[in-house]
Amino acid sequence: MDKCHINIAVLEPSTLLYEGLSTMLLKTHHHYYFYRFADLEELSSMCEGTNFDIIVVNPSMVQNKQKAFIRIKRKMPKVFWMALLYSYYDNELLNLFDTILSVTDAPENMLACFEKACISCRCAVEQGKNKLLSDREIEVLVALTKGLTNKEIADLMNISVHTVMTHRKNIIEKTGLHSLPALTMYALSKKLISFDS
Amino acid sequence: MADLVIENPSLLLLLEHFGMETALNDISIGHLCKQYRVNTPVFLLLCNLYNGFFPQRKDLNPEQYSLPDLIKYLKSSHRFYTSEKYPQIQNYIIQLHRTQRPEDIKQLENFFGEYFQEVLEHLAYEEEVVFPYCNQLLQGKKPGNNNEGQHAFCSTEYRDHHTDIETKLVDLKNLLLKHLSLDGDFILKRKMLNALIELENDLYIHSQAEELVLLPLLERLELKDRNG
Repeated sequence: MDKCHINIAVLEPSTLLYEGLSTMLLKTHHHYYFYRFADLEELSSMCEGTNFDIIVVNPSMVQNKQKAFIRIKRKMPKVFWMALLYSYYDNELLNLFDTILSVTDAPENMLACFEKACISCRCAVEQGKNKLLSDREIEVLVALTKGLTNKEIADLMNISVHTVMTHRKNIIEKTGLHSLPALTMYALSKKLISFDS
Repeated sequence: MADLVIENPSLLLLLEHFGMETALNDISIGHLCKQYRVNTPVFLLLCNLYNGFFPQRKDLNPEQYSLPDLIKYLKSSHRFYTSEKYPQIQNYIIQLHRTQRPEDIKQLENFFGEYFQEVLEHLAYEEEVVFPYCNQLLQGKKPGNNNEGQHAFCSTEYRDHHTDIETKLVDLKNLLLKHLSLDGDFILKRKMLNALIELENDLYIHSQAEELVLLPLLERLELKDRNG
């Protein structure tokens, strides 16, 4: 997923507010892309095709539709959900959001809120990038550095020797490292094993 | 020749291997080889390898190459590896101690140390086994019979040695480039990577020279030897 820009979906009936919010955000150095939705159903139909990072919602749009909202939230686990308030809503509804903005907030505070959301989106992506090897591959790698044979690793992990070979092949491909000493150094540098072991 | 060196400065190393003076004037390759009594086909082939042109084995006629000149080059590049390139990299690793935690460096040091040892063994094998074997063949002696086959030369084993040396070097390069973060030591990291890449290129040329010319020449000599 390309993360040079941030996709923001907005669920807000007021055009004035939508235009104001997007204009304010576009003045910052971030590459924001805006998508406006008329209601929850429209957002729900779009949520699978597009990778939204932040979704700004007027809570009136989800009031009395909490169940549908929770379903959509579950479909998009990586999204940062923001509520944009200009009237009172009860806490039960507001607790469904990651953060709450009020139209009366100072622009700096609002921007800071978006900034924070961007950072959390980026962190999630970075973590994904850092995770070069899958959990199973890491298990194989650790076993290899302990000097276990393919057969021993297969028995330990309850998989076939063939699968161990596939994991090994993938480890070599992903790290670019072929020899055991180099792989050991890799595991040490990523703190997958310790010096004592 | 000077034009070639200006195009590709790494040819200076080739001149050095053959003990050729670098004040080249406008001398041609043919003249240069004549002056230093170097077999021109060997020199040209090596120039091509350094320039990134790798001919197919079947396109080469081994007959035209002089084995002693090739060995002269191989021996000289061994010296380049053992007394210049590897110590240079080792030195960089030692310098890392100034900025990095000792436990991080220790692994790198061990890895490099073991690897260097392997390289030295391989080079020693070439110097002590392969090259003398070549000389004996050239002089028309029958080395296999004299030494009870102890020194019998096996080209597949030889190739394995090479692949192993190259693989470990690639590993070292990848570790530095992709995985190890040497906090803040950019300059040293760059120097090390440059040295490793230079070494990798040179080792590749070295092994190509052996694959393309040394082995076919040896096979031919062996055949001659067997047929009396």
